[in-house]
Amino acid sequence: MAASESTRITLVSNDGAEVHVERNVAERSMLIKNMMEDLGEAAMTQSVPIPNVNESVLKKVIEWCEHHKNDPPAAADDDSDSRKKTTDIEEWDQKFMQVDQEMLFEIILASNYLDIKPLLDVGCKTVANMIKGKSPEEIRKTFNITNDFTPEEEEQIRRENEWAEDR
Amino acid sequence: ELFFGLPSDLQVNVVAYLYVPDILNLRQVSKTWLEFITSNETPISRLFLKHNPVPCFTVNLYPLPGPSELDLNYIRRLWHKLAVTSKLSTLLADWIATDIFLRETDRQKQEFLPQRARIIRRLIPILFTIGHFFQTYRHLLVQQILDKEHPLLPEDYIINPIERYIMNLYDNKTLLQVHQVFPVILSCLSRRLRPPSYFGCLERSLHGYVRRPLPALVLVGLLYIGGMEEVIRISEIETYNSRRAAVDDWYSAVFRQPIDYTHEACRCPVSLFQKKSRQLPSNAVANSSLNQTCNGTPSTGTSPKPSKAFTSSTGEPGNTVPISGSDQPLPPLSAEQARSLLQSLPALKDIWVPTAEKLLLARQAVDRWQDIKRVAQVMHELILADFT
Repeated sequence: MAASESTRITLVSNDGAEVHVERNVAERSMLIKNMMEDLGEAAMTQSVPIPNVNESVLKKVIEWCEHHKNDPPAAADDDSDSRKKTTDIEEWDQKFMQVDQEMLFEIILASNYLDIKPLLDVGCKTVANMIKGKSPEEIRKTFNITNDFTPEEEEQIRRENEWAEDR
Repeated sequence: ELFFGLPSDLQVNVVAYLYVPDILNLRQVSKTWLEFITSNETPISRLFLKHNPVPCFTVNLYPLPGPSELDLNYIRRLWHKLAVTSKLSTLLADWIATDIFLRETDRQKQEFLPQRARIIRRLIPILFTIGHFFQTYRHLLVQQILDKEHPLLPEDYIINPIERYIMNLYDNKTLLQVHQVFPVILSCLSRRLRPPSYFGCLERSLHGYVRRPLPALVLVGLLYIGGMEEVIRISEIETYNSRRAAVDDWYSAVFRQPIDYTHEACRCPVSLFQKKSRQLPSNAVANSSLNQTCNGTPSTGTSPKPSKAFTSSTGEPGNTVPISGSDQPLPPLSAEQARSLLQSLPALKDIWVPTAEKLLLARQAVDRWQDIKRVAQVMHELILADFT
């Protein structure tokens, strides 16, 4: 790996923790990449504040970037989307996403803020997979949701849904 | 709740990764979810179609609504139709494998799997079109009946005007492809509803095949009025006797009268049928829903599922199939309307084939009548590896 690629930069989370990371790893984030280009050489010496993300989430996100640093850059948006039509997630990412729900949603928010599209997709698909194939009651259990419908209201919606369930 | 802490475009993004039944289930989870799904139908549907591109034969027949009118209803109707079509393709492929290619043992079937997969893949667009054909036909006819127009009877025309209208929606290639396979499909379906033909009287009574053979008119009614869903439901029943019983049940639920085995009676004017037939309790329930529209929200909480009146089967509760993929909501038919519909339907042998043949020649899709491929060739092409 070329010397320039392994230059380390310093990110500062919103709770003040410094996280050191290789520049090309951090640049999986389009936000950081653009910032680096704007800052130029100055970025090498001064630390980069990440005001929306706390330390534990930032470290988790960096871990993902580390593992995916050599991924080929995503093709044009539209194409890659229609090809990956299923919610298949590669094995490493699935393991990576085995975190509590709070962390999962934090990662989604952070990857959205940091503009890391592949990680954002993995996050959204993970949530989708938690819903897939479940009954309304199971979904409520999974996300700890209270059912605030009256039995009549619920029956009404169930009936509206009914015929589409026949497959 | 964590989910609703996400920006709304991400919420939409998550939901668009789901399948249709999951999205519908979410509506039932809580008021917040119902509200969210309802107010985001268009963006969810748009993204859903991006994740799950539909084959172009589907949008050719059921054009996508404008981008701002796209909703989950369109998506779920389309998906429902695709699901029904692929189910029927699988059933047909299995019958074609055993009845036409005579792959009967497990081993033979195993070896035939690649060909079977090709048959299924090639049948899907064709069956989708056939489903569209029957559905549109019924739709136009029902519209006529509801508008109190006197529907044309088969003896009134030379070229069936409704068929011609629908077939003009298909391009030459589609029309020809469907036309060449149509007789096979129809004979596969009717075969399921007839006792095995090589059985003599003695075998028949040994097997208890004592019911009289199904009049062709009933099969016609099943195709047009029951639709693909009903055809599948009945075809999937294991033994011939139970299938026949299911047809009887379906018939009496829709027409409120037993199957009439005398041909003349089937063609009698409606007025002759108006003697009060005994009604089953569930029919009475269905009756009360006649004035409701299919999609309108019923005003009372106790109203029955509106679509039941059309296709309810009294035989097996809980196994009813709703009105077959009605694209625009139609009010359910009364038994009387259903009977008058049945009268205006073409005879089994006159469905599709005569009209399509004339149109194919008129539109010069084929030069000569002889250029329309014969069944044996069509079957062969269904299994060929490199034929597209």
